[in-house]
This record gives sequence, structure tokens and C-alpha cells, in this order.
Amino acid sequence: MSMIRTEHVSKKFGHLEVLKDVNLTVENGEVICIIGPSGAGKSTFLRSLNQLEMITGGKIFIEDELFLHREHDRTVDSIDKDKHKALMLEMGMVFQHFNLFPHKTVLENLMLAPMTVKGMNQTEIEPLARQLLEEVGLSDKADEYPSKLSGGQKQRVAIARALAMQPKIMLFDEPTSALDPELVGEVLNVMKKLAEEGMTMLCVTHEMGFAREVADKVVFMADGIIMEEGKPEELFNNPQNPRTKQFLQSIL
Amino acid sequence: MKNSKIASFFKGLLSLFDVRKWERKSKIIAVVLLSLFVAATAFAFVKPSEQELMDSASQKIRSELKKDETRSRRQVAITYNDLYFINYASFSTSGVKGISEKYVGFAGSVHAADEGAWNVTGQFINYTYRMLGCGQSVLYGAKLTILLTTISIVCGLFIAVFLALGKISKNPIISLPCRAYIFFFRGTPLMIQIFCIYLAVPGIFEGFSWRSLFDNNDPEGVFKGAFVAACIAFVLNSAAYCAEIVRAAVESIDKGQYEAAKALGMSYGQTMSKIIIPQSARRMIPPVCNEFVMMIKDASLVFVIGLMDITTISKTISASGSYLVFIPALVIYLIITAFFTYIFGKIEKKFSVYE
Amino acid sequence: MKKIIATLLAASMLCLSIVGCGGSKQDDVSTPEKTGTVDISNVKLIKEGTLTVGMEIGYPPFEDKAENGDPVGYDVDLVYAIADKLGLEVNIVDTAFDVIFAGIGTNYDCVVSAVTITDERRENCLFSDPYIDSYQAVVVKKGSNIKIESLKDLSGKSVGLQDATTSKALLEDMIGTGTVTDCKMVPSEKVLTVFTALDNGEYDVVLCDSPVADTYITNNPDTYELAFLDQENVEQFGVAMAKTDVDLQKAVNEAMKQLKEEGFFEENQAKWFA
Repeated sequence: MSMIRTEHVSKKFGHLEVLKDVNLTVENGEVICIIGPSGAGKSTFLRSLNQLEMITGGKIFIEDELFLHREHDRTVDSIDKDKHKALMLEMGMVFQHFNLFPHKTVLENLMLAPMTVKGMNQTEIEPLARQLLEEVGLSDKADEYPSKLSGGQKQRVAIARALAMQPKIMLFDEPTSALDPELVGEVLNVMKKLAEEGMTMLCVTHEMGFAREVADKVVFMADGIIMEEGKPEELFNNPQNPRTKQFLQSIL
Repeated sequence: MKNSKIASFFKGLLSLFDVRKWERKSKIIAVVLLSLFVAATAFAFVKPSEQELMDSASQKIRSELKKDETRSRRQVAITYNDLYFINYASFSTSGVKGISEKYVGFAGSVHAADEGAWNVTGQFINYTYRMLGCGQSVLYGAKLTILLTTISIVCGLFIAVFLALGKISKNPIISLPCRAYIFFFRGTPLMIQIFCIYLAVPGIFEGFSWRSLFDNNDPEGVFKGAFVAACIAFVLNSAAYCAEIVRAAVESIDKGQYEAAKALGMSYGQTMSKIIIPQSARRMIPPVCNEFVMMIKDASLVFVIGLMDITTISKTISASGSYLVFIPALVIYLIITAFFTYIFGKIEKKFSVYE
Repeated sequence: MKKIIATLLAASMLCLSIVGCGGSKQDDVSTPEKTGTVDISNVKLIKEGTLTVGMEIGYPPFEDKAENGDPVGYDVDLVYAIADKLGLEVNIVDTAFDVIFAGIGTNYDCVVSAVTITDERRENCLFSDPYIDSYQAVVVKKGSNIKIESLKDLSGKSVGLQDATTSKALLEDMIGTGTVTDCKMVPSEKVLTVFTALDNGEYDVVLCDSPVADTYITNNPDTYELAFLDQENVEQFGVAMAKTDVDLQKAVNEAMKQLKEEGFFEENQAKWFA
């Protein structure tokens, strides 16, 4: 069973065509890294899976169910509301700029959504939240406000916050791009650990080392389409598409 | 969960009284206020009683008072003002041959206050007494100002949140009325709004009067009715102004906060109430405080419907008395403004704990 | 587009300046000397050849505004009649009543605005001879069951009245001396507000000068009715002038004497009071 499948997904901002025809399948437990030059539509694609952007055309399937079908900026078919909500909760998202809630403590950041969205009470969620903080190595920061944390710590909290909703798939939108170089490692380590635990992950990243080491599949996107996809060693060592070659040369 | 929230609120409230947690500045203010209070209390104990002041009246006044008992219209006006540590009494008859005697009671003795420093002191006591609304109903003087502005800012802010969210809304059925409302109430003078609500509303609804909201036999009813009308006008007006403050604050919140909330599955209402409004609250406080201070002064507009606030009372006194009345008026305004600015500063600090 | 705006702006500026010039030119043109029947050679006026009068326009029938904005009323007619006798033009300055006395001698020569002659006011200004008698009147809503037999019966009532009037001074005095008790006094700036609020049922009664009460009752016989007329205390209205302006006082008194002989007052009374 595939976790996510997209068919002919396209997205226009006015006349600007950011996504042209994106077809991608994410299998259960798979770790996929999306790489590519800026402006390729990587983030937009990730965000459209999560409904942060509304696609203009194409189909999105989640767990083999038709989640959304749109043509010419009109919804042709979509899943019913309750299921929609349930499926949305299966996706956790981590942003480039963390987007922690600054007025809540770290622990409250983790507990807020489970309590408000899932209606869990504090006694249920607090042990899980504390456990997650321990997993990301921040159990001593539980009662701090985000403003007191470093960038790397913030991003680890953001990962824990997404995990607190117990998602089946995690979407990472350039999680290390806003970090100082020395703080990148701690975040990648957490992500690596997550991958090892078998989490399905879809990750837009510029960290080629991470992609090579952790990804099951690497996808190269440019100009709004998937140019090439394959196992990391194949794609990195022996790229087929000239655009991929060009890109890899420019960054290495 | 609700209970725990209420409990934590009261805990927070109690912690305000925990002297150990106060800052140095607050402690100094508290010490100064406390010592002033102690000194005033000491003077209050040795202040002559009302009876002593009354007994100081001259023979002439006494004979007039005696005659008054049988007159159909009395002649002597007796004023007695008690300001905690000092008191003032005056006896006067009107007309060209009117007599007037004034006394100030302070620190154990009664002073004749017909001229000199005691006269000025006596006047100040009388002015302050009247402007504070002592011996009058709640809807008089400083009390009216404070009550009116507090009610309007609290209720106005509550309505403003919905107006602001409505105005931001992408749905024109919601946003247009909100826009129109804000446009109307910001674009018309408050005084005319007060007039319209007080005079026009009963004119439209036959048989309705603001006074009829209260017991018709209640002698205060006329003021209470006018106060309700004034309150409605002020609330509606401040809602419009605060809505713009709220809107600006809400729009200043980073887009990422909405996205994070959405990605976590939170609904619009949850996002607003748990994420956006609490964060924008801190940014609203300085402009809301500003709005509040403006409104303290705007409260004087209620004179058009017969209510008396500090400004109106001082104007009335100055028409027949002395322009010195404006000094205590200024002092009272400054004290009220200082107090509320201090409170708003505290609230702002409370909200900005996470920064 | 910009050009059009610029042209419009320029044009409007031109218009304004022309209007401005016109205004100032008019001042230069000397009006043909009017001659009166009273000698005013000693009288110093704020503006030569003009009697400048302070008036709170909004107290019908004494002073009111016609629909075109011109002041009309008993006092207005009186002012023009007096000015005619003095051989002067009239300039009426609309002023709020609660500050009207502060402007005598600086903003206007005299105040004709249903001013009751009181001892208190005499301390600060001069008065002409009285030109009309007035009583305090208590007005209630038509059909009200409130009975007023003396001013004492205002106890326990809410009383609407105009700010800075003798009605207010009287009621304040009665409250101060304890003649009436528990009386709620509601002063408003305009007499119209007072009567509207009475009609709306906000007050129990309105206390005002009898000519004002007469006018409102005559014009709205289904809305208001007279509850009490305080005939014990007559009040007289006079023209108020600066304390030092004895010459003007003399001149006004002389003019009023002549008007009386001509029967102006009966005529004017008949015109304004039914």
C-alpha cells in the first residue's frame, strides 16, 4: 500500500506555473528526499500535499484513497469531511522557520494540538510529550519558552511537536536551511533516528550527505517536474538526466 | 480543565500580592503610597467632627437657620465636604445681601476660611469633593468617568475581536458589514452618536425610554438610563477603534503561525483563539492603553445628555466660582491616567513573559 | 489626470482669493451713515457703526434659527429695533450660553439672550431696564399624572433644564438649602434636548422660563402641558452690558423707552407669544 500517490499534480500562481506534472509515489516506511535548485517547486509540492497550497490540477491519493481531484482550479472530487480531517492528521509537517508557538512553553507547544484537535486531556498527552522531548534530547527544556532556545533546539522541538500528533508520515520542508552550520547536525541526527524507527518521511533538503545516507529514494525536481528519481547511490553517482548532472556538479 | 484555568487565574491574581516577587520600583511606589495613607489616617483621627464645624457658624447664620424652619423656601445653603483627613463646611445665603461663612477643619482645629490660604484650601476641598462625586450617586464625577471608560474598553475590545476577524475575513457577506460598521463609527463624531442613541432611539421605538429600563420610581433612574445610553454609544464607538487595533495586531502575526496550526490540524477558530489572538494581545496593549486614555477625556462628552463627569463639573464650578477649580481637575485626571497606565504596563509585562 | 487636478486646484485657489478680496473690499466701502433717534456720541462700540450682540441661538421663542440659518426670535426683533433707534447696524454673535458673559466687552457689546436680571449677575455686568417678565414654569408630558402645586413638589422628581440658566440656579439653590430633597437635576446644553428627552420619558418634568414653556406647549399641544407656573417670583429679562459701559446702558434704556412709547413691545409680544 502506498502512503501517498500524486498524479499529474499542477499548481499555478497566476500565470506562473510552479508545478507542471508531478507524479510521485511514497510507499509505507519509505524515506524520500527531494532535491533540486531553488524555484523548482519542491516546497510547493510538499505544501500542496498538506493542503497549505491548493493544487490547480491533478489527483492526490492518501493510503490509496482519492483524497483530492482538481482540474482547472476546480475541485472535481474530494474525500468527505471527516475522513479528510482524519487523513490530514496523519501528516506531520516541519517548517524551515520552525514556526513554534512563541507564547507557549516547549511542553505546551507539544501538547496544544493533541489537546485541542484530538481532545486528549493533559494526563494522557503529557507522558507522551515528555517522552518525545527526551527522544529529541530536550527534556530539560520542557518549561522554557521558544525564545530561549537555539535554532537547532527549536527545530528539534518542532519535530517533536509534529510527532506528538502521532502522524504516519512526516513532511520536512528544508528543516536545516535556516540553521547555523554547527547546529545542522543535531537536527539531522534526530531525523536519522526517526528514519531508523521506520517513519515514512518526505524531505525537501539541501543536505546531500543526509540524502545519500538515509534516503531510500532521492527525487530530483526542476522547473516544476520530477526530472529523475532513484536510489541515492544511483542518482548521485550516475545521474542520467543532464539537469541532474549539472545540479550535482554545481553543489559538490 | 476550566476549573484549573480559573484556579490558575486566581493564583496569578494572588501572586500580585506577594511582596517578595515585586520589583524595586513597585516597592518604592507602594511604600510612598502607604506612608501617605498612614499620614492621612493620622490626620483623619485628629480631624474636627462634622458637629464641631457646624457649631462654628456665627450667630447671624444660626438665626437665619432658625427662621428657615418656618419658611416655605429656605435661605441658608449648608455645604459639608469630608475628604478623609480634612473637612470643609460653608453656610451661605444668596442675593446681594447674602452672607457666606466657610470653615476648614484640619488637625484638630477649625479654621475660618473666608480669605487667604484657608479660603483656597476650602475651595480645593470643595472642588475635589464635587469632582470625585463624593456624596453623590455612582454615576457622578470621577466615578462616572472610570466606570464608563472601563466598561467601554472591556466590552468594546470583546466586540472588536469579532469585528476585526470579520473585516479580515475573505467572505464578503461577513467582511462588508464589519467594514461598514467600522467605517461608520470611526467616521462620525462620538458626540452625535451619543445624541442619536439617547434621543433618537426612544423616538423610533414608541413607548421606550432609557429610563424605563429601570424602576420608574427610582429617582436615580434618569441618570442610570442616560448612563446606559452613553455606555452603548461608547462601547460601539470604542469597538470600532479597537477593531482596527486588533486587526493590525492580528495581521502582524507571522504567516508561519497559521501554517503551523493548520498543519497540526487546528481549525480556524482554534487557531485564532489559541494561537493568533493570544500572541497579538501583547501587541494590542500599548495602542489600547492609548485609546483608553483618550476615552477618559472623551467621557466628558456625556454632558450632552445631562451626565456630569469631571470636566463638566469643573466647567460648571468655574462658571460661578473660580478658575482654580481646574487645578484639582488636572490632578484627578493625572492620577486616574497614571493608575491605568501602570495597570496596562503590568498587563503588558505579563503578556510579554515569553519574549 | 495630474494636470486636471492642478488646474482645478489653481482655479479653486483663485476663487478663494477673489472671495477673500471681495470680503475685505466690502469692509472698505463705507455704509451710508444711519441716523438714529438716540444720541450715541459717547458710546464706544467694538466695531464702529455696528451693535455687536452676543446671543445663544437656540432658545425659542427668544432666539431661534430660521431654516436659512438667519437668527429669528423675540430678542432678535428687539435687537434690530434698538439698533434702529441707535442708528447702528447689527451683528449677532452666536455663543454658548455657559460662557456668554465672559465675552461681554471683548467679543460683543452686549448680550441679549433671554438673560434674567439677577443680583449675582449684576455683580459682573450692567443691565438695561427689563423688557419682559418671565416666571419659572414646570412642564410635564401630556397626560402625566404628576401634580406640582409649588416648586417644593419637585422633591423626588427628575428635572430636566438648560445649563447655566436661572432655572438651574434656582433649582440648585433649592437643593442646596434643602427646600427640595432627593431631586435629580439633569442639565443639558440645549433646550431642545431637554424637551425631546421629556417627550421620550427620560425626565419627570422640565423647569424653564414661562415664555419658553408657552412656546413649546403652543406648538406641541399634544405632547406637553403646563404643570405649574411660579407666579410668586417674577423674573425680568434685560440687556446685559459690560460693567463699565454706562453710556451704552443709557442709550439702550433711552431706545427702549422710545420703543415702549411706540408700542413695539405689545406688538412684538403678540408676534412671538400666542
